[in-house]
Amino acid sequence: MSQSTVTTPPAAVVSPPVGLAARGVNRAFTVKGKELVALQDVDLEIAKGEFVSIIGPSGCGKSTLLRIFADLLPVTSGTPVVDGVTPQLAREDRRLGVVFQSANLMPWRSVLRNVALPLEVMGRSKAGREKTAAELLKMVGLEGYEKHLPRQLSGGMQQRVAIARALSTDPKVLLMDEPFGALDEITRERLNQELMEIWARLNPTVLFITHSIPEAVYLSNRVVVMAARPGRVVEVVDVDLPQPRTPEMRDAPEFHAIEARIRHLLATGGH
Amino acid sequence: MADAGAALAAPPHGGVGSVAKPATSGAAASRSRRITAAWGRALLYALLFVLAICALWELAKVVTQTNDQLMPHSWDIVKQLGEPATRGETWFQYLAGNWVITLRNALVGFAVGSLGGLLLGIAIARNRLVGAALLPITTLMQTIPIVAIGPALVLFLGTGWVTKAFIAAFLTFFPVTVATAKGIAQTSSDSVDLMRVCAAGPLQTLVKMQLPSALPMIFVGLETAAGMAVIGAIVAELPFGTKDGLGATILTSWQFYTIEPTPLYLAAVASCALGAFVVFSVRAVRTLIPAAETQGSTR
Ligand SMILES: Nc1ncnc2c1ncn2[C@@H]1O[C@H](COP(=O)(O)OP(=O)(O)OP(=O)(O)O)[C@@H](O)[C@H]1O
Ligand SMILES: [Mg+2]
Repeated sequence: MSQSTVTTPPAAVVSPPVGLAARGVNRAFTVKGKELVALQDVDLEIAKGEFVSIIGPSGCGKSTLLRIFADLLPVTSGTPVVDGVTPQLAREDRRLGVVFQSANLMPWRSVLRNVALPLEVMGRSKAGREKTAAELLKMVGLEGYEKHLPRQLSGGMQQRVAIARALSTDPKVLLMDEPFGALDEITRERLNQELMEIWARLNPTVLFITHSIPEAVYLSNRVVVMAARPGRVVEVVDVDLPQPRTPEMRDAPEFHAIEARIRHLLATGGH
Repeated sequence: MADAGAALAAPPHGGVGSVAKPATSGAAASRSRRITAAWGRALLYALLFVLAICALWELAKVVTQTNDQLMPHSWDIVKQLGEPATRGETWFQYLAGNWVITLRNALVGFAVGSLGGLLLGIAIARNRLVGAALLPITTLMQTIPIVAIGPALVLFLGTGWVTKAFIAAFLTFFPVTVATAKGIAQTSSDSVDLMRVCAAGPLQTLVKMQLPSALPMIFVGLETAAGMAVIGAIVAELPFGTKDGLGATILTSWQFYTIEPTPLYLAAVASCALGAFVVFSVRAVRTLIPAAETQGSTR
Protein backbone atom coordinates (compact mmCIF):
# COMPACT_ATOMS: atom_id res chain seq x y z
CA MET A 1 0.00 0.00 0.00
CA SER A 2 2.04 2.93 1.30
CA GLN A 3 5.38 1.19 0.77
CA SER A 4 4.57 0.18 -2.75
CA THR A 5 7.14 2.55 -4.26
CA VAL A 6 10.19 1.43 -2.25
CA THR A 7 13.15 1.18 -4.62
CA THR A 8 13.81 -2.38 -5.63
CA PRO A 9 17.48 -3.38 -5.48
CA PRO A 10 18.73 -5.14 -8.61
CA ALA A 11 17.90 -8.84 -8.64
CA ALA A 12 21.45 -9.58 -7.63
CA VAL A 13 23.17 -12.73 -6.48
CA VAL A 14 23.16 -12.59 -2.69
CA SER A 15 25.44 -14.28 -0.16
CA PRO A 16 25.50 -18.05 -0.80
CA PRO A 17 23.95 -19.52 2.39
CA VAL A 18 20.52 -18.01 1.66
CA GLY A 19 17.98 -20.74 1.09
CA LEU A 20 14.96 -18.47 0.92
CA ALA A 21 14.58 -14.81 1.73
CA ALA A 22 11.94 -12.14 1.52
CA ARG A 23 13.16 -8.58 1.89
CA GLY A 24 10.47 -5.97 2.29
CA VAL A 25 8.09 -8.00 0.14
CA ASN A 26 4.71 -6.46 -0.56
CA ARG A 27 1.95 -7.88 -2.68
CA ALA A 28 -1.41 -6.29 -3.35
CA PHE A 29 -4.34 -7.50 -5.42
CA THR A 30 -6.95 -5.29 -6.96
CA VAL A 31 -10.34 -6.88 -6.48
CA LYS A 32 -13.31 -5.00 -7.95
CA GLY A 33 -11.43 -1.72 -7.90
CA LYS A 34 -10.44 -2.12 -4.26
CA GLU A 35 -6.88 -2.77 -3.23
CA LEU A 36 -6.31 -5.82 -1.06
CA VAL A 37 -2.98 -6.11 0.71
CA ALA A 38 -2.12 -9.80 0.71
CA LEU A 39 1.43 -9.32 2.02
CA GLN A 40 2.78 -6.26 3.82
CA ASP A 41 6.50 -5.73 4.50
CA VAL A 42 7.40 -9.37 4.82
CA ASP A 43 11.00 -9.89 5.93
CA LEU A 44 12.25 -13.42 6.23
CA GLU A 45 15.67 -15.08 6.07
CA ILE A 46 15.86 -18.83 5.77
CA ALA A 47 19.29 -20.48 5.67
CA LYS A 48 20.15 -23.24 3.23
CA GLY A 49 19.00 -26.60 4.49
CA GLU A 50 16.64 -25.12 7.06
CA PHE A 51 13.08 -26.42 7.56
CA VAL A 52 10.68 -23.54 8.18
CA SER A 53 6.91 -23.71 8.53
CA ILE A 54 4.37 -20.96 8.02
CA ILE A 55 1.18 -20.95 10.03
CA GLY A 56 -1.57 -18.37 10.05
CA PRO A 57 -5.28 -17.80 9.57
CA SER A 58 -6.93 -18.33 6.22
CA GLY A 59 -6.27 -15.46 3.84
CA CYS A 60 -3.14 -14.17 5.58
CA GLY A 61 -1.07 -14.60 2.43
CA LYS A 62 0.74 -17.90 3.03
CA SER A 63 0.04 -19.26 -0.43
CA THR A 64 0.75 -15.86 -1.94
CA LEU A 65 4.24 -15.87 -0.38
CA LEU A 66 4.88 -19.42 -1.55
CA ARG A 67 3.72 -18.58 -5.07
CA ILE A 68 6.09 -15.61 -5.11
CA PHE A 69 8.99 -17.92 -4.20
CA ALA A 70 7.85 -20.39 -6.86
CA ASP A 71 7.86 -17.62 -9.49
CA LEU A 72 4.17 -18.14 -10.07
CA LEU A 73 3.33 -14.60 -8.93
CA PRO A 74 5.33 -11.35 -9.09
CA VAL A 75 5.79 -9.08 -6.07
CA THR A 76 4.36 -5.57 -5.96
CA SER A 77 7.60 -4.46 -4.35
CA GLY A 78 10.50 -5.95 -2.43
CA THR A 79 13.00 -8.71 -3.17
CA PRO A 80 12.37 -12.42 -2.97
CA VAL A 81 15.49 -14.64 -3.01
CA VAL A 82 15.49 -18.37 -3.76
CA ASP A 83 18.69 -20.36 -3.31
CA GLY A 84 20.71 -17.16 -3.64
CA VAL A 85 19.08 -16.02 -6.89
CA THR A 86 15.77 -14.62 -8.12
CA PRO A 87 12.74 -16.94 -8.13
CA GLN A 88 12.73 -16.85 -11.92
CA LEU A 89 16.32 -18.00 -12.21
CA ALA A 90 15.80 -20.65 -9.57
CA ARG A 91 12.74 -21.97 -11.38
CA GLU A 92 14.35 -21.95 -14.81
CA ASP A 93 17.39 -23.69 -13.32
CA ARG A 94 15.02 -26.30 -11.83
CA ARG A 95 16.21 -25.74 -8.28
CA LEU A 96 12.59 -25.68 -7.08
CA GLY A 97 10.25 -28.45 -6.09
CA VAL A 98 6.63 -27.59 -5.28
CA VAL A 99 3.97 -29.73 -3.59
CA PHE A 100 0.42 -28.42 -3.53
CA GLN A 101 -2.52 -29.38 -1.34
CA SER A 102 -3.96 -31.50 -4.11
CA ALA A 103 -1.56 -34.13 -5.39
CA ASN A 104 -2.38 -32.85 -8.88
CA LEU A 105 -1.24 -36.00 -10.64
CA MET A 106 -1.99 -36.57 -14.30
CA PRO A 107 -4.69 -39.24 -14.16
CA TRP A 108 -3.66 -40.85 -17.46
CA ARG A 109 -0.02 -41.27 -16.48
CA SER A 110 1.23 -44.18 -14.43
CA VAL A 111 2.69 -43.40 -11.02
CA LEU A 112 6.19 -43.84 -12.41
CA ARG A 113 5.57 -41.52 -15.35
CA ASN A 114 4.03 -38.91 -13.07
CA VAL A 115 7.17 -38.87 -10.94
CA ALA A 116 9.33 -38.73 -14.06
CA LEU A 117 7.39 -35.80 -15.60
CA PRO A 118 9.80 -33.00 -14.52
CA LEU A 119 12.75 -35.03 -15.82
CA GLU A 120 10.88 -35.70 -19.06
CA VAL A 121 10.34 -31.95 -19.47
CA MET A 122 14.07 -31.49 -18.78
CA GLY A 123 14.86 -33.84 -21.65
CA ARG A 124 16.41 -36.62 -19.59
CA SER A 125 16.62 -40.00 -21.34
CA LYS A 126 13.79 -42.44 -20.72
CA ALA A 127 15.99 -44.99 -18.99
CA GLY A 128 17.63 -42.35 -16.80
CA ARG A 129 14.44 -40.71 -15.66
CA GLU A 130 12.65 -43.97 -14.98
CA LYS A 131 15.58 -45.14 -12.86
CA THR A 132 15.46 -41.94 -10.80
CA ALA A 133 11.68 -42.10 -10.51
CA ALA A 134 11.78 -45.72 -9.34
CA GLU A 135 14.37 -44.86 -6.68
CA LEU A 136 12.24 -41.94 -5.46
CA LEU A 137 9.15 -44.12 -5.31
CA LYS A 138 11.10 -46.57 -3.21
CA MET A 139 12.09 -43.75 -0.90
CA VAL A 140 8.50 -42.63 -0.36
CA GLY A 141 7.46 -46.23 0.26
CA LEU A 142 5.65 -46.87 -3.01
CA GLU A 143 7.88 -49.55 -4.47
CA GLY A 144 5.74 -51.90 -6.55
CA TYR A 145 3.19 -49.21 -7.46
CA GLU A 146 5.12 -47.91 -10.49
CA LYS A 147 2.59 -49.15 -13.06
CA HIS A 148 -0.51 -48.11 -11.13
CA LEU A 149 -2.71 -45.22 -12.14
CA PRO A 150 -3.19 -42.38 -9.62
CA ARG A 151 -6.85 -43.19 -9.07
CA GLN A 152 -5.86 -46.63 -7.82
CA LEU A 153 -4.02 -45.01 -4.88
CA SER A 154 -5.30 -43.54 -1.62
CA GLY A 155 -5.01 -39.82 -0.92
CA GLY A 156 -1.93 -40.32 1.22
CA MET A 157 -0.26 -42.41 -1.42
CA GLN A 158 -1.06 -39.83 -4.09
CA GLN A 159 0.55 -37.14 -1.97
CA ARG A 160 3.64 -39.36 -1.64
CA VAL A 161 3.79 -39.53 -5.43
CA ALA A 162 3.55 -35.73 -5.59
CA ILE A 163 6.46 -35.45 -3.13
CA ALA A 164 8.53 -37.91 -5.15
CA ARG A 165 7.78 -35.87 -8.29
CA ALA A 166 8.84 -32.64 -6.57
CA LEU A 167 12.10 -34.31 -5.54
CA SER A 168 12.87 -35.71 -8.99
CA THR A 169 15.02 -32.79 -10.15
CA ASP A 170 16.98 -32.87 -6.87
CA PRO A 171 15.72 -29.41 -5.89
CA LYS A 172 17.65 -27.17 -3.53
CA VAL A 173 14.39 -25.67 -2.30
CA LEU A 174 11.16 -27.52 -1.55
CA LEU A 175 7.97 -25.45 -1.29
CA MET A 176 4.99 -27.23 0.24
CA ASP A 177 1.53 -25.65 0.46
CA GLU A 178 -0.57 -27.61 2.96
CA PRO A 179 0.58 -30.90 1.43
CA PHE A 180 -1.08 -33.03 4.11
CA GLY A 181 -4.08 -30.78 4.71
CA ALA A 182 -6.58 -33.20 3.17
CA LEU A 183 -5.29 -36.28 5.00
CA ASP A 184 -6.46 -37.94 8.19
CA GLU A 185 -4.46 -37.49 11.39
CA ILE A 186 -2.78 -40.92 11.35
CA THR A 187 -1.69 -40.69 7.71
CA ARG A 188 -0.54 -37.14 8.32
CA GLU A 189 1.72 -38.12 11.24
CA ARG A 190 3.14 -41.00 9.24
CA LEU A 191 3.91 -38.68 6.32
CA ASN A 192 5.42 -36.14 8.75
CA GLN A 193 7.84 -38.83 9.84
CA GLU A 194 8.68 -39.76 6.26
CA LEU A 195 9.18 -36.13 5.29
CA MET A 196 11.58 -35.68 8.22
CA GLU A 197 13.64 -38.64 7.04
CA ILE A 198 13.68 -37.41 3.45
CA TRP A 199 14.75 -33.96 4.63
CA ALA A 200 17.51 -35.45 6.80
CA ARG A 201 18.79 -37.41 3.83
CA LEU A 202 18.59 -34.85 1.01
CA ASN A 203 18.69 -31.70 3.16
CA PRO A 204 16.87 -29.23 0.91
CA THR A 205 15.65 -25.88 2.21
CA VAL A 206 11.97 -26.45 3.01
CA LEU A 207 9.15 -23.93 3.30
CA PHE A 208 6.13 -25.77 4.64
CA ILE A 209 2.65 -24.22 4.95
CA THR A 210 0.25 -25.80 7.40
CA HIS A 211 -2.79 -25.13 9.57
CA SER A 212 -1.70 -27.70 12.14
CA ILE A 213 0.31 -26.38 15.09
CA PRO A 214 1.73 -29.79 16.15
CA GLU A 215 2.75 -30.50 12.57
CA ALA A 216 4.57 -27.16 12.32
CA VAL A 217 6.36 -27.68 15.63
CA TYR A 218 7.26 -31.27 14.94
CA LEU A 219 8.80 -30.64 11.54
CA SER A 220 10.45 -27.26 11.77
CA ASN A 221 13.58 -25.48 12.90
CA ARG A 222 11.47 -22.34 13.03
CA VAL A 223 7.80 -21.49 12.67
CA VAL A 224 6.68 -18.27 11.00
CA VAL A 225 3.41 -17.04 12.51
CA MET A 226 1.37 -14.76 10.26
CA ALA A 227 -1.74 -12.62 10.69
CA ALA A 228 -4.31 -11.44 8.14
CA ARG A 229 -5.65 -8.08 6.91
CA PRO A 230 -3.05 -7.05 6.00
CA GLY A 231 -1.05 -10.26 5.63
CA ARG A 232 2.11 -9.93 7.71
CA VAL A 233 4.62 -11.84 9.81
CA VAL A 234 3.77 -11.64 13.49
CA GLU A 235 6.72 -13.52 14.90
CA VAL A 236 9.19 -16.24 14.02
CA VAL A 237 9.27 -18.90 16.75
CA ASP A 238 12.40 -21.00 17.22
CA VAL A 239 11.78 -24.68 17.84
CA ASP A 240 14.57 -25.75 20.19
CA LEU A 241 13.99 -29.45 20.01
CA PRO A 242 16.81 -31.88 19.20
CA GLN A 243 17.19 -33.39 15.72
CA PRO A 244 16.21 -35.89 14.54
CA ARG A 245 12.68 -35.57 15.80
CA THR A 246 11.03 -38.71 17.16
CA PRO A 247 7.31 -39.36 17.72
CA GLU A 248 7.76 -39.36 21.53
CA MET A 249 8.75 -35.70 21.38
CA ARG A 250 5.13 -34.85 20.60
CA ASP A 251 4.39 -35.58 24.27
CA ALA A 252 7.32 -33.62 25.74
CA PRO A 253 6.58 -30.51 27.85
CA GLU A 254 8.91 -28.39 25.66
CA PHE A 255 6.85 -29.41 22.65
CA HIS A 256 3.64 -28.32 24.36
CA ALA A 257 5.20 -25.05 25.47
CA ILE A 258 6.08 -24.13 21.89
CA GLU A 259 2.62 -25.18 20.75
CA ALA A 260 1.07 -22.95 23.41
CA ARG A 261 3.24 -20.03 22.35
CA ILE A 262 2.17 -20.36 18.71
CA ARG A 263 -1.47 -20.78 19.67
CA HIS A 264 -1.24 -17.60 21.71
CA LEU A 265 0.34 -15.69 18.84
CA LEU A 266 -2.33 -16.91 16.44
CA ALA A 267 -5.14 -15.95 18.81
CA THR A 268 -3.85 -12.46 19.55
CA GLY A 269 -2.19 -11.63 16.27
CA GLY A 270 0.94 -10.60 18.23
CA HIS A 271 -0.72 -8.00 20.43
CA MET B 1 22.58 -30.58 -12.74
CA ALA B 2 22.81 -33.86 -10.84
CA ASP B 3 19.56 -35.68 -10.29
CA ALA B 4 18.16 -37.05 -7.10
CA GLY B 5 19.09 -40.55 -8.14
CA ALA B 6 22.75 -40.06 -7.27
CA ALA B 7 21.88 -38.95 -3.77
CA LEU B 8 19.55 -41.89 -3.37
CA ALA B 9 21.75 -44.57 -4.83
CA ALA B 10 22.29 -46.23 -1.47
CA PRO B 11 19.39 -45.54 0.86
CA PRO B 12 20.48 -46.10 4.49
CA HIS B 13 17.60 -48.29 5.51
CA GLY B 14 15.71 -49.37 2.45
CA GLY B 15 12.56 -47.33 1.87
CA VAL B 16 11.28 -44.82 4.34
CA GLY B 17 7.66 -45.62 3.72
CA SER B 18 5.56 -48.41 5.10
CA VAL B 19 2.90 -49.08 2.51
CA ALA B 20 1.77 -52.63 1.88
CA LYS B 21 2.93 -54.15 -1.39
CA PRO B 22 0.38 -53.96 -4.16
CA ALA B 23 -1.27 -56.86 -5.89
CA THR B 24 0.05 -57.58 -9.39
CA SER B 25 -1.90 -55.82 -12.10
CA GLY B 26 -2.36 -57.53 -15.45
CA ALA B 27 -3.37 -54.30 -17.14
CA ALA B 28 -1.93 -55.08 -20.58
CA ALA B 29 -3.52 -58.51 -20.86
CA SER B 30 -6.97 -57.40 -19.78
CA ARG B 31 -7.01 -54.50 -22.25
CA SER B 32 -7.41 -56.53 -25.44
CA ARG B 33 -10.01 -58.67 -23.69
CA ARG B 34 -11.86 -55.53 -22.66
CA ILE B 35 -11.84 -54.15 -26.22
CA THR B 36 -13.07 -57.44 -27.70
CA ALA B 37 -15.84 -57.54 -25.12
CA ALA B 38 -16.80 -53.95 -25.87
CA TRP B 39 -17.12 -54.66 -29.61
CA GLY B 40 -19.04 -57.86 -28.91
CA ARG B 41 -21.44 -55.96 -26.71
CA ALA B 42 -21.84 -53.19 -29.31
CA LEU B 43 -22.71 -55.76 -32.01
CA LEU B 44 -25.14 -57.54 -29.73
CA TYR B 45 -26.85 -54.28 -28.83
CA ALA B 46 -27.00 -53.32 -32.52
CA LEU B 47 -28.66 -56.64 -33.36
CA LEU B 48 -31.15 -56.32 -30.51
CA PHE B 49 -31.82 -52.73 -31.56
CA VAL B 50 -32.56 -53.77 -35.16
CA LEU B 51 -34.84 -56.57 -33.99
CA ALA B 52 -36.67 -54.19 -31.67
CA ILE B 53 -37.14 -51.66 -34.48
CA CYS B 54 -38.48 -54.39 -36.78
CA ALA B 55 -40.91 -55.52 -34.09
CA LEU B 56 -42.11 -51.96 -33.51
CA TRP B 57 -42.41 -51.49 -37.27
CA GLU B 58 -44.61 -54.54 -37.66
CA LEU B 59 -46.65 -53.55 -34.62
CA ALA B 60 -47.21 -50.06 -36.00
CA LYS B 61 -48.18 -51.57 -39.33
CA VAL B 62 -50.77 -53.82 -37.73
CA VAL B 63 -52.16 -51.15 -35.42
CA THR B 64 -52.50 -48.50 -38.12
CA GLN B 65 -53.42 -51.05 -40.81
CA THR B 66 -51.03 -49.40 -43.26
CA ASN B 67 -50.77 -51.12 -46.62
CA ASP B 68 -47.61 -52.78 -47.97
CA GLN B 69 -47.07 -49.93 -50.40
CA LEU B 70 -46.49 -47.33 -47.66
CA MET B 71 -45.06 -49.70 -45.10
CA PRO B 72 -43.57 -52.86 -46.53
CA HIS B 73 -42.93 -55.76 -44.17
CA SER B 74 -39.54 -55.69 -42.54
CA TRP B 75 -38.70 -59.13 -43.94
CA ASP B 76 -39.52 -57.86 -47.45
CA ILE B 77 -37.02 -55.05 -46.92
CA VAL B 78 -34.39 -57.60 -45.88
CA LYS B 79 -35.29 -59.81 -48.85
CA GLN B 80 -34.71 -56.89 -51.20
CA LEU B 81 -31.00 -57.24 -50.44
CA GLY B 82 -30.86 -60.36 -52.64
CA GLU B 83 -32.83 -58.86 -55.50
CA PRO B 84 -30.99 -57.63 -58.61
CA ALA B 85 -30.28 -53.90 -58.72
CA THR B 86 -28.21 -52.57 -61.65
CA ARG B 87 -25.42 -53.91 -63.87
CA GLY B 88 -25.98 -57.44 -62.62
CA GLU B 89 -25.41 -56.48 -58.99
CA THR B 90 -27.69 -57.48 -56.14
CA TRP B 91 -29.05 -54.72 -53.95
CA PHE B 92 -26.63 -55.80 -51.25
CA GLN B 93 -23.61 -55.34 -53.55
CA TYR B 94 -24.96 -52.09 -54.93
CA LEU B 95 -25.60 -50.65 -51.48
CA ALA B 96 -22.28 -51.86 -50.14
CA GLY B 97 -20.41 -50.16 -52.98
CA ASN B 98 -22.18 -46.86 -52.38
CA TRP B 99 -21.80 -47.26 -48.65
CA VAL B 100 -18.03 -47.45 -49.03
CA ILE B 101 -17.98 -44.40 -51.30
CA THR B 102 -19.92 -42.28 -48.82
CA LEU B 103 -17.84 -43.68 -45.96
CA ARG B 104 -14.67 -42.56 -47.72
CA ASN B 105 -16.03 -39.05 -48.31
CA ALA B 106 -17.20 -38.79 -44.72
CA LEU B 107 -13.92 -40.08 -43.30
CA VAL B 108 -11.71 -37.83 -45.42
CA GLY B 109 -13.86 -34.83 -44.46
CA PHE B 110 -13.92 -35.90 -40.84
CA ALA B 111 -10.14 -36.24 -40.69
CA VAL B 112 -9.47 -32.91 -42.38
CA GLY B 113 -12.17 -31.09 -40.40
CA SER B 114 -10.99 -32.59 -37.09
CA LEU B 115 -7.41 -31.59 -37.73
CA GLY B 116 -8.46 -28.06 -38.63
CA GLY B 117 -10.78 -27.86 -35.63
CA LEU B 118 -8.04 -29.12 -33.34
CA LEU B 119 -5.59 -26.51 -34.60
CA LEU B 120 -8.05 -23.64 -34.43
CA GLY B 121 -9.25 -24.77 -30.99
CA ILE B 122 -5.67 -24.74 -29.72
CA ALA B 123 -5.10 -21.29 -31.20
CA ILE B 124 -8.29 -19.96 -29.61
CA ALA B 125 -7.47 -21.45 -26.20
CA ARG B 126 -3.90 -20.28 -26.12
CA ASN B 127 -4.33 -16.78 -27.40
CA ARG B 128 -7.04 -14.55 -26.08
CA LEU B 129 -6.79 -12.22 -29.06
CA VAL B 130 -7.15 -15.03 -31.58
CA GLY B 131 -10.07 -16.35 -29.55
CA ALA B 132 -11.82 -12.99 -29.43
CA ALA B 133 -11.32 -12.54 -33.18
CA LEU B 134 -12.17 -16.03 -34.40
CA LEU B 135 -14.82 -17.40 -32.05
CA PRO B 136 -17.65 -15.09 -33.27
CA ILE B 137 -16.72 -15.77 -36.90
CA THR B 138 -16.61 -19.48 -36.20
CA THR B 139 -20.02 -19.40 -34.57
CA LEU B 140 -21.48 -17.37 -37.43
CA MET B 141 -20.06 -19.69 -40.06
CA GLN B 142 -21.71 -22.58 -38.30
CA THR B 143 -25.11 -21.17 -39.19
CA ILE B 144 -24.43 -21.09 -42.95
CA PRO B 145 -26.84 -23.55 -44.58
CA ILE B 146 -24.91 -26.01 -46.72
CA VAL B 147 -27.54 -25.77 -49.48
CA ALA B 148 -26.88 -22.04 -49.77
CA ILE B 149 -23.18 -22.41 -50.44
CA GLY B 150 -23.56 -25.59 -52.47
CA PRO B 151 -23.53 -23.93 -55.91
CA ALA B 152 -20.44 -21.92 -54.97
CA LEU B 153 -18.72 -25.08 -53.77
CA VAL B 154 -19.50 -26.86 -57.03
CA LEU B 155 -18.04 -23.92 -58.92
CA PHE B 156 -14.80 -24.04 -56.96
CA LEU B 157 -14.40 -27.72 -56.24
CA GLY B 158 -16.40 -29.41 -58.99
CA THR B 159 -19.01 -32.14 -58.54
CA GLY B 160 -16.53 -34.82 -57.52
CA TRP B 161 -15.93 -36.39 -54.15
CA VAL B 162 -13.77 -33.45 -52.98
CA THR B 163 -16.89 -31.31 -52.71
CA LYS B 164 -18.60 -33.94 -50.57
CA ALA B 165 -15.58 -34.41 -48.34
CA PHE B 166 -15.35 -30.65 -48.01
CA ILE B 167 -18.92 -30.41 -46.75
CA ALA B 168 -18.26 -33.21 -44.26
CA ALA B 169 -15.13 -31.36 -43.14
CA PHE B 170 -17.05 -28.11 -42.84
CA LEU B 171 -19.59 -29.69 -40.50
CA THR B 172 -16.90 -31.52 -38.50
CA PHE B 173 -14.85 -28.40 -37.98
CA PHE B 174 -17.07 -26.48 -35.54
CA PRO B 175 -17.86 -29.03 -32.84
CA VAL B 176 -14.18 -30.02 -32.72
CA THR B 177 -13.01 -26.41 -32.55
CA VAL B 178 -15.35 -25.56 -29.70
CA ALA B 179 -14.63 -28.77 -27.77
CA THR B 180 -10.86 -28.32 -28.10
CA ALA B 181 -10.91 -24.68 -27.03
CA LYS B 182 -13.19 -25.46 -24.08
CA GLY B 183 -11.23 -28.54 -23.05
CA ILE B 184 -7.93 -26.68 -22.97
CA ALA B 185 -9.44 -23.68 -21.19
CA GLN B 186 -10.75 -26.02 -18.49
CA THR B 187 -7.37 -27.49 -17.49
CA SER B 188 -6.79 -26.81 -13.81
CA SER B 189 -4.62 -23.88 -12.82
CA ASP B 190 -2.69 -26.22 -10.50
CA SER B 191 -1.61 -28.22 -13.55
CA VAL B 192 -0.56 -25.05 -15.34
CA ASP B 193 1.48 -24.08 -12.25
CA LEU B 194 3.04 -27.52 -12.14
CA MET B 195 4.25 -27.27 -15.73
CA ARG B 196 5.61 -23.80 -15.04
CA VAL B 197 7.54 -25.02 -11.99
CA CYS B 198 8.97 -27.76 -14.22
CA ALA B 199 10.14 -24.93 -16.52
CA ALA B 200 8.18 -26.45 -19.41
CA GLY B 201 7.94 -24.49 -22.64
CA PRO B 202 4.58 -23.66 -24.27
CA LEU B 203 4.76 -26.63 -26.63
CA GLN B 204 5.64 -29.07 -23.83
CA THR B 205 2.81 -27.69 -21.71
CA LEU B 206 0.42 -28.18 -24.62
CA VAL B 207 1.52 -31.69 -25.55
CA LYS B 208 2.19 -33.16 -22.12
CA MET B 209 -0.58 -31.52 -20.13
CA GLN B 210 -3.21 -29.40 -21.88
CA LEU B 211 -4.08 -31.65 -24.83
CA PRO B 212 -4.19 -34.88 -22.80
CA SER B 213 -6.41 -33.31 -20.14
CA ALA B 214 -8.65 -31.85 -22.85
CA LEU B 215 -9.02 -35.23 -24.60
CA PRO B 216 -12.23 -36.39 -22.87
CA MET B 217 -13.86 -33.12 -23.97
CA ILE B 218 -12.31 -33.29 -27.45
CA PHE B 219 -13.75 -36.76 -27.91
CA VAL B 220 -17.22 -35.49 -27.05
CA GLY B 221 -16.72 -33.03 -29.92
CA LEU B 222 -15.35 -35.75 -32.20
CA GLU B 223 -18.34 -38.02 -31.58
CA THR B 224 -20.77 -35.21 -32.38
CA ALA B 225 -18.70 -34.32 -35.43
CA ALA B 226 -18.62 -37.94 -36.63
CA GLY B 227 -22.41 -37.94 -36.94
CA MET B 228 -22.34 -34.56 -38.66
CA ALA B 229 -19.68 -35.71 -41.11
CA VAL B 230 -21.84 -38.65 -42.20
CA ILE B 231 -24.93 -36.49 -42.56
CA GLY B 232 -22.87 -33.93 -44.46
CA ALA B 233 -21.46 -36.55 -46.82
CA ILE B 234 -24.93 -37.97 -47.56
CA VAL B 235 -26.63 -34.59 -47.97
CA ALA B 236 -23.78 -33.47 -50.24
CA GLU B 237 -24.70 -36.29 -52.63
CA LEU B 238 -28.31 -35.14 -52.96
CA PRO B 239 -28.33 -31.88 -54.91
CA PHE B 240 -25.33 -32.11 -57.17
CA GLY B 241 -26.47 -34.65 -59.73
CA THR B 242 -24.18 -37.45 -58.59
CA LYS B 243 -24.55 -41.10 -59.40
CA ASP B 244 -22.42 -42.43 -56.56
CA GLY B 245 -22.94 -42.69 -52.82
CA LEU B 246 -25.78 -43.36 -50.43
CA GLY B 247 -27.30 -39.93 -51.03
CA ALA B 248 -27.66 -40.72 -54.72
CA THR B 249 -29.07 -44.15 -53.84
CA ILE B 250 -31.69 -42.52 -51.61
CA LEU B 251 -32.60 -40.11 -54.41
CA THR B 252 -33.04 -42.84 -57.06
CA SER B 253 -34.91 -45.16 -54.72
CA TRP B 254 -37.20 -42.30 -53.85
CA GLN B 255 -38.01 -41.68 -57.53
CA PHE B 256 -39.02 -45.35 -57.90
CA TYR B 257 -40.83 -45.48 -54.57
CA THR B 258 -44.30 -45.93 -56.03
CA ILE B 259 -43.11 -48.89 -58.11
CA GLU B 260 -40.93 -50.48 -55.45
CA PRO B 261 -40.86 -49.05 -51.89
CA THR B 262 -38.37 -51.38 -50.25
CA PRO B 263 -35.10 -49.95 -51.75
CA LEU B 264 -35.70 -46.56 -50.14
CA TYR B 265 -36.01 -48.19 -46.74
CA LEU B 266 -32.87 -50.21 -47.41
CA ALA B 267 -31.00 -47.04 -48.31
CA ALA B 268 -32.23 -45.35 -45.12
CA VAL B 269 -31.09 -48.30 -43.02
CA ALA B 270 -27.72 -48.27 -44.75
CA SER B 271 -27.34 -44.57 -43.93
CA CYS B 272 -28.09 -45.24 -40.27
CA ALA B 273 -25.59 -48.07 -40.26
CA LEU B 274 -22.97 -45.74 -41.72
CA GLY B 275 -23.52 -43.14 -39.02
CA ALA B 276 -23.41 -45.77 -36.29
CA PHE B 277 -20.26 -47.29 -37.73
CA VAL B 278 -18.36 -43.99 -37.82
CA VAL B 279 -19.50 -42.89 -34.35
CA PHE B 280 -18.64 -46.27 -32.81
CA SER B 281 -15.26 -46.21 -34.51
CA VAL B 282 -14.52 -42.88 -32.84
CA ARG B 283 -15.54 -44.41 -29.51
CA ALA B 284 -13.32 -47.40 -30.16
CA VAL B 285 -10.36 -45.11 -30.79
CA ARG B 286 -11.17 -43.32 -27.55
CA THR B 287 -10.95 -46.52 -25.54
CA LEU B 288 -7.42 -47.01 -26.86
CA ILE B 289 -6.19 -43.66 -25.51
CA PRO B 290 -5.77 -43.68 -21.70
CA ALA B 291 -5.91 -39.88 -21.38
CA ALA B 292 -9.24 -39.76 -23.24
CA GLU B 293 -10.75 -42.30 -20.87
CA THR B 294 -9.66 -40.83 -17.53
CA GLN B 295 -11.93 -38.06 -16.38
CA GLY B 296 -10.78 -35.09 -14.30
CA SER B 297 -7.77 -34.75 -12.06
CA THR B 298 -6.86 -36.50 -8.85
CA ARG B 299 -7.41 -35.29 -5.32
N1 LIG C 1 -5.16 -14.06 -7.69
C1 LIG C 1 -5.73 -13.35 -6.70
N2 LIG C 1 -6.56 -12.34 -7.00
C2 LIG C 1 -7.12 -11.61 -6.02
N3 LIG C 1 -6.93 -11.82 -4.71
C3 LIG C 1 -6.15 -12.82 -4.35
C4 LIG C 1 -5.50 -13.65 -5.33
N4 LIG C 1 -4.76 -14.59 -4.68
C5 LIG C 1 -4.94 -14.35 -3.37
N5 LIG C 1 -5.78 -13.30 -3.16
C6 LIG C 1 -6.16 -12.76 -1.87
O1 LIG C 1 -5.01 -12.59 -1.10
C7 LIG C 1 -5.24 -12.97 0.22
C8 LIG C 1 -4.23 -14.02 0.64
O2 LIG C 1 -4.50 -15.20 -0.08
P1 LIG C 1 -3.68 -16.54 0.13
O3 LIG C 1 -4.20 -17.54 -0.82
O4 LIG C 1 -2.23 -16.24 0.08
O5 LIG C 1 -4.10 -16.93 1.62
P2 LIG C 1 -3.66 -18.19 2.48
O6 LIG C 1 -2.96 -17.67 3.69
O7 LIG C 1 -2.93 -19.15 1.65
O8 LIG C 1 -5.05 -18.78 2.90
P3 LIG C 1 -5.48 -20.30 3.11
O9 LIG C 1 -4.98 -20.71 4.45
O10 LIG C 1 -6.97 -20.26 3.07
O11 LIG C 1 -4.88 -21.10 2.00
C9 LIG C 1 -6.67 -13.46 0.32
O12 LIG C 1 -7.46 -12.42 0.85
C10 LIG C 1 -7.04 -13.73 -1.11
O13 LIG C 1 -8.40 -13.47 -1.32
MG1 LIG D 1 -3.33 -21.12 0.85
